[in-house]
Amino acid sequence: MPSSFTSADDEGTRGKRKRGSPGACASEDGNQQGPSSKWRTPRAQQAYSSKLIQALRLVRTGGTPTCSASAPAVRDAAYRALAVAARGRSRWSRAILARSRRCRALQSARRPPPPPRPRRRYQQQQDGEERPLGGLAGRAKVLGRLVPGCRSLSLPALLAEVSDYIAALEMQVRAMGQLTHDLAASASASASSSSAPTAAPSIAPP
Amino acid sequence: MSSRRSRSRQSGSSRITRITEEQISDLVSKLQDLLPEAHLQSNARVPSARVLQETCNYIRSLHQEVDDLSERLSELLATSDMSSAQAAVIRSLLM
Repeated sequence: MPSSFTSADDEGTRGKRKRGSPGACASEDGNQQGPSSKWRTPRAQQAYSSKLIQALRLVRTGGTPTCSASAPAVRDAAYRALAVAARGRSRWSRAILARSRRCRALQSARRPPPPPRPRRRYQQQQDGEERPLGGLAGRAKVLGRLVPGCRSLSLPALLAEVSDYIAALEMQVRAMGQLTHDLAASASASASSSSAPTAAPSIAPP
Repeated sequence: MSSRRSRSRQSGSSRITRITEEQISDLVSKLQDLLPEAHLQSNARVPSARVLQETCNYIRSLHQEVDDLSERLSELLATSDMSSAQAAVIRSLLM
């Protein structure tokens, strides 16, 4: 009888651990599962979503009324929020934050942000590097240019950064997709519930 | 196998690469697990160079997705208000 109680307690604690937030388990076993597992918890995604909304708010209020929330501004805000969510533990996050500071300095001088040059370079060099020099080394170079701040990293460090970066990007895509979906749903709901908006002609009956 | 060629070339350059090649293959296999199955068959043995290539393609596709989502978000934000977005997030948190 007492053994059954203890076994029940063990099962209860195990059940609590399993039912508990996966973020807690991931933080306990973070070293075993890999540091990139922190990006896959619902908590992380929710925290990032709220950070993203705050950043987007700043984008809207900070910019001029004409160009309020442009797509590049949204993208930069998203990457900045992602880098902040990384809490400076990874090289790519620190590189993104450093890059955003430079862009802000440029924008304060009322200049447009620099065009996405690294992508053009990739496209130009992709043809030349399809037959890479050292096979692994050539492709590792391309990979290092894709991840911010990892151009001159050794291969093991680069691969570690890449795994964290990919997990973070996947979470970013999930969070932004969810936010887009929620915004669209709430926009349609508010449009249907409220009577005529100012721009559209009044069709809704009183 | 291109990875074997790179090993033979790199082994002459420095001794350190011999020690870390096991780490590299281990990390590459972990990378392979990260990639979605659409890009790479996780069961089959894939050369490291191909894993790196697929990783590059996957990162580029993720960047592209973020760009597309940013466009959609900017369009939505132009029309709607941030308070509704926050309400939506709070709703998702409660659910």
